[in-house]
Amino acid sequence: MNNGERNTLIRAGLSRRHRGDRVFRLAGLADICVALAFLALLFGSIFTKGYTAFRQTVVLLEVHLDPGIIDPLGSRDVRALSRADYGVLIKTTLRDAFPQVTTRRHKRELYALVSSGAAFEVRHRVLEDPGIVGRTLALWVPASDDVDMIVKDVIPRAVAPAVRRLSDRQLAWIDTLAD
Amino acid sequence: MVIGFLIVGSLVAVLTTIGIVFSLLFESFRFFQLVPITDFLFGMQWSPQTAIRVDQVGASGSFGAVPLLVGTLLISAVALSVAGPVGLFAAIYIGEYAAPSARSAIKPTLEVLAGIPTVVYGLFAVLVVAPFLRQTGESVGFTVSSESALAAGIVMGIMTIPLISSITDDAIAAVPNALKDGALALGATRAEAIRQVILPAALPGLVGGLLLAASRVIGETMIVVMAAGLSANLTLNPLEAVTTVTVQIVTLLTGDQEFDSAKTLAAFALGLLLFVITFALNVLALHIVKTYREQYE
Repeated sequence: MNNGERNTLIRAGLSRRHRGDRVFRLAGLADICVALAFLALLFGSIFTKGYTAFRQTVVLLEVHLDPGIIDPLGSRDVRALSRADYGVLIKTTLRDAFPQVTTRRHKRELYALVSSGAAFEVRHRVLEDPGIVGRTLALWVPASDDVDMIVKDVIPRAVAPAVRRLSDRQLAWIDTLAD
Repeated sequence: MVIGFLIVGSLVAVLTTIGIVFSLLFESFRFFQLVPITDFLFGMQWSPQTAIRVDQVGASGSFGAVPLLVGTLLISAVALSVAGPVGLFAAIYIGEYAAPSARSAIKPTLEVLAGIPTVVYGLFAVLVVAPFLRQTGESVGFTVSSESALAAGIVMGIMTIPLISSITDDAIAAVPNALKDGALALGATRAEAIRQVILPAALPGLVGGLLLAASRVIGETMIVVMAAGLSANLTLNPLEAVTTVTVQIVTLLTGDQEFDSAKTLAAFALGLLLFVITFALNVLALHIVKTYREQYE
């Protein structure tokens, strides 16, 4: 075999070998992309699923801090203030905001719109400054978890009423509050 | 003075290891007095109950570890078939093809995968991968369990990618440069040099690394606790739910335990089994690395 023949032989296989090299290189690149895609998917899914937890649905309530309920004796004593029934204040506020709600069952549904923590929010304000007792306080209180899920669209409204945790009435109230 | 500290330090490490092994051995011995060792190693049924009353239904538990071992190996096989090729090719590309700037960007990004807590991987498996697999499976007519071995295995594989790729990287870097240069000088393409010269020379390191990764995957707990099943199921179908040795140890030892029942002591026997397997894998890996290492120097 002389030089010329050898060169022809080598050239004949050259494009095939170069293709093999490109395929091998692309395989490596593809695998890196796969690994990076997994990483992106992992972070992406954690952030998209998790970010709503940093946001809270709140409801603006005009709470009248009735001294007859908070502190009937008028002592303004810290112990009396901290033991008062602030839940009643929230309930009264909600009833005043929706005067058309009259039956017991509907009232209970109405109360369920607001988180049970709302009363503690009011208590906290009163203890911070007992002077506000008797006034009317505009306060953002957390909505209940069911309302929160609806507003964030984690649970769609289209879910059948039978399996939904909120009634159509409650959904309507949410819309009124949102306006 | 310094030497004294060094001796004390190494003694603590050694004695702790010995203590762990002996506690496993003693408790396992107590277990094997209640349940014959052949029943444990070859039994096909895992149902670890013990009776509270004498006349109770299902009072006699069965402690056959085979379904757990098969489940563990199934999930590990899935994990390694994800991590093995991806890690290997990624490392080859980074080491042999990538420009230095790309290399310094890609490598630390991949290392991020190694820094994610396993509980986050578990969350990922349960909330993202498993539902995705089930929906995809349903749309093409397969029944995929919500706790399929496939979901747990894939996520475990993702976790193992950086381990495999860094081991591959080390093994390739340890091959003398003269070998690669020689191949290139003879006219080999890069792919040919890698496939026919570098990889065979690095093979002992690669096999050893793969075995280390296997023992890591077999012992991994959090991902399978969250994403794999709880009930023993002797199957090789990765779409079904299986349980693993580690999951069973967790469930057996969570909460208050009585240490004279076979149910609790079974956890130690499982621990011993796991220890023996991973220890054997590690010894094998070291042996392979040691025996074939200096072939080219």
